[in-house]
Amino acid sequence: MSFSSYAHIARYGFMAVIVIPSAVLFVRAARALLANIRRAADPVRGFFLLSSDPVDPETVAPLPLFHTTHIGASRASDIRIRGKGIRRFHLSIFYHNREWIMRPEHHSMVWLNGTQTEESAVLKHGDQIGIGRCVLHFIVDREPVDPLRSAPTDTCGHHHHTAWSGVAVLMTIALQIGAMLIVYFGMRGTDTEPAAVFFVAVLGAVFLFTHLVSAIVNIAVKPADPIVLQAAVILTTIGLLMQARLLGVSRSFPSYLEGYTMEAWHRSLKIALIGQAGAVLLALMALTAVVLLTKKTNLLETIAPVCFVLTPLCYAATIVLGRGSETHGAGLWIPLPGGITIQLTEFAKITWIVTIAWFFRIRPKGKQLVAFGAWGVLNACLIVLLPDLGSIMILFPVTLVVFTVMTSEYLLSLGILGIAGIAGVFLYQAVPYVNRRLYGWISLWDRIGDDNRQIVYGLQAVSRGGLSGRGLGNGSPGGIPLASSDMIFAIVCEELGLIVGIALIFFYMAVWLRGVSGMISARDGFTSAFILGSSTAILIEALVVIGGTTGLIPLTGVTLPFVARGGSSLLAKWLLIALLLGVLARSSTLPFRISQPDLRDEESSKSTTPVNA
Amino acid sequence: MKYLIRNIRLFVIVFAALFALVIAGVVSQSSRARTTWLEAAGENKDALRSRYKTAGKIISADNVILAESDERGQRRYAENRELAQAALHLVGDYTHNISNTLESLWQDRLLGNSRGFLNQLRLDIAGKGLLGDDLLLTVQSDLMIAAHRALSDKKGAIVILNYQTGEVLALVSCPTVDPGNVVEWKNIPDTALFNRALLGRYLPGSTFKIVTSAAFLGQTEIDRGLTVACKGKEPLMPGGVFERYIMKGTHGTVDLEKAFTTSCNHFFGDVGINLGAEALERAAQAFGFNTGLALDRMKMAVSVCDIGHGDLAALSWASIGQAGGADIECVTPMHLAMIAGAVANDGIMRQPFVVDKIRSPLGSVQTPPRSGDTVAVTDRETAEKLAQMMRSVVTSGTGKNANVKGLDIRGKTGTADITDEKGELKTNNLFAGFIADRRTPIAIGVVLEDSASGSAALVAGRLLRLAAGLK
Repeated sequence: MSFSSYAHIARYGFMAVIVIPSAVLFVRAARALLANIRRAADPVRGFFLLSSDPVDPETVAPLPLFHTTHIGASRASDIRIRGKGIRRFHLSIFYHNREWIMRPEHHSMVWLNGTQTEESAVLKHGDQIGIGRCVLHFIVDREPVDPLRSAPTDTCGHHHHTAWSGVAVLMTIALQIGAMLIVYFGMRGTDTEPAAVFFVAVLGAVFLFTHLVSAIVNIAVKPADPIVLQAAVILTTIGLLMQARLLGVSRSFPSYLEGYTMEAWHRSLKIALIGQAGAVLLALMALTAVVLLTKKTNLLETIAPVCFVLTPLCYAATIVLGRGSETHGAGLWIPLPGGITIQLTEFAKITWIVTIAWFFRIRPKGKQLVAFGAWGVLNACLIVLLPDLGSIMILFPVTLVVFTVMTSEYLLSLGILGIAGIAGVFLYQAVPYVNRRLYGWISLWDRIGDDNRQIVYGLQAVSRGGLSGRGLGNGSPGGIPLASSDMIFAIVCEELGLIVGIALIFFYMAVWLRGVSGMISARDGFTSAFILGSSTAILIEALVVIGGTTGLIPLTGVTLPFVARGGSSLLAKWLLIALLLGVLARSSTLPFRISQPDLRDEESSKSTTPVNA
Repeated sequence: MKYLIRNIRLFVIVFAALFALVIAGVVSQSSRARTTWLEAAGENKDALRSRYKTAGKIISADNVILAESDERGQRRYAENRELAQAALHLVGDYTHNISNTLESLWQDRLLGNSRGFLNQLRLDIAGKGLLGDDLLLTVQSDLMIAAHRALSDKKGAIVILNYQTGEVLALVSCPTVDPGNVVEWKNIPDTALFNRALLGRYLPGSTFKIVTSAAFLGQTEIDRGLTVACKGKEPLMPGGVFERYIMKGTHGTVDLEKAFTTSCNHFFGDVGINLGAEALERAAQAFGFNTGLALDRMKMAVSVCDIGHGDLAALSWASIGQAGGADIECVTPMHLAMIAGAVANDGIMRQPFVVDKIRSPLGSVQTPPRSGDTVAVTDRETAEKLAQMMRSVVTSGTGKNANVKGLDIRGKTGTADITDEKGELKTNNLFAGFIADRRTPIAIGVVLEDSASGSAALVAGRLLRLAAGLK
């Protein structure tokens, strides 16, 4: 039996070790989300408001606080106060950067400790907030941790370590061993044999490292999120497997190139693999530190203004320095010394998400919104100049989702969507590159031309693979332009089958579901917004590229997260995962910056006596 | 917080829908691609070569291999060089340099990637999952070679089929070239990659008189016993039809049968004018003109009868299959054989097919799905009368060249004058015929470009004799 027949049979094994973990992670994430939505009404512990009845000051009632609490006349307010002069959204109290902040909404009448104010203010224990005829007392009540209540509110899998999560880990290991074996045997006896040991060693090193780092993170950051980490590890494994296959398996020496030696070819293959594996190793090395920093400190909040400035700078730098590197309509690669190129736009996605989390941690006021709008338009213009439509395809929906979820501005969101539509039509008219791509997509089924050939060949490959694929090495990626980066999904489908292709979507969806469930139990608005932004960015990027390669939407130059070729993209995605892991691990018990009087004495602990500030 | 929860719920629903949509979309796009793009121009040749490594065989009805992939994964075509050339347009090449072929359009079966999950699993367990299915054809290798030889250096096409079942026994087009040259893309004669048998659109010439006769026989207004006095080289009317290939004088006063036998232009010109363009078009339609025909998955050019746009003189030309001006008439060699077959088969035109069976690597054989078994129907009496007249064409008329002792061969000749792109006048020679014998139900369509009168009938007679199994 030849290698191709072994590979053909092996694909059932690959299918099992990929599909089962994807289902496990997906189900766990979905369950965690449902549980968290159910318990979403749980208020923050240790902080609450006391209201005294204006008629009978002796009657006081505790009111719960959430990381963001809306007070107003609206039915949807968390604390509903009705009366003359009270607006629908009157006041927000939110937690940010280790402080509780009270912010009157636009032109609302609010008294803080007897003084009328329209400005935001940091709250401290005992502050009186006057709204209409109502007075609310802000109470900090940090009682000793009750062991019965100390369980984290987020139940995502940590103490649900069922047999299934063990199965998922074992399957990941099986996948990694299988990947090494198939790459080795695929390269043996072919032109790439001299590089086989090197390939397997690199894969083995990275795979071993993923488990090592997972273990360290799990010890250092109790508890590191198992779903996000595992999904990222499996996707990265599949990615490395596919890249190693594309470089080394079923390849023959391009003897038609004059003056090209076998040694030079092997060296180029090794460098290409190292480019991919190196990015993973680099990211894994930094992972623990980044996760810890994000979890323990409020570094992310602190650098938000820096990100605000950095984002447009990244695009501007790419425009200036990336000239001459144009490939497929976009010049995104900045050359660095040592022959390395870096794609700053991939990292700009992260700074973008930090910035929007900062802006939309709470419903921004008019001026802030205008400032953000101006910033967004500036960046959009820079991106169009690049042009990097892939970035817009991801950042725009992510921003809109975060904005809508965090601010509930449905009408404004629809308005922005409409304006974006008009801008899109304008882009279509003005930028020939967009025009070509869109036309190629519209005429996909009628006419095959230069503008849609790639998708046609990709879809042909997907259809050739069928449900269960042809086996690793049995596909024909040689016929698809950009098989290793843009079209990697088509290769996965052709060689491992459509079922595995769909399992990939399940991994991304699991990360998103996990993100959203973590967002509900997050301790503050910034954390919520950041979790939402980062998990949505990963999902949207995956869906945009999968939709693009299968002709569902126009193809843009986006890479399939963790799988596609591209060191910058891989590094940036892992950085995002590290930040996501960090914010997800943030305790739901709120750290509080201002030194407090000793609140553990009998008098003020969970007292029913009125508190006089 | 209430807002947040509400918004999250909303977006969970939105994203769940998006997620489901993308998955459904990916599945539907992949199945749509499977049927739409079996061949796409400009595919990478190396990728195609690796794809066909384990592709199935293409085998003729008499068990001769027309295409197979050897142990080293090299795709090979028929060993016999003549057969390989004869089968080129039907079988095609794995590099898809020729489109509309078995290799490209049956690619999914040949590569075995349109199987169901369980079917694939069964093959995998047997260790044959990577192998493609074999295509078992209806064509006979000896007939293919004979037809190829008959065409020799001429341009043209020959189609032989079983008119009772629709099985295509031979389908060749010339000029042709070795499949190796096509794969390497070198030394390819002009138009050698064009499949004239399926895609060649030829002026039908006098073979169209079958249609005109059918229209005449199918009506009641004009007396069936109509006679017309042939005026020889003198036109029927100014600009109208006249006789060309007549040694002396005229055909005399002819009725339908005599006119059909001698291919008298005056008679059919007159009849056509009396019937009108619409009646002719209707009769043509009944024979499958103006209809999208196909041979399994392979496209056929549409045979067109779109006439009556000119004056009566033009209509008289259209009536004898020599439409000009704004009128269009054309027929493919494949269709010509089908028309002859319909006449032979009591007016019922069978759907032709060339892929008889599909054999899985495990040996199980299945019949591919077919669109139906009947394409067009003319009425039975008309068909019988036409068949009777086509007999006298071969015994005593213009088709004597096709006559073979011991066989009941019937047919109709055609000569069509065309001007090529250089403005030179050329004469194409056509023949549509069949053997009127239930044991050897064989029909033939022959088109020889730029050939002497009677050559197509000669070729048809020889091939029918071979097909009937006579030495």
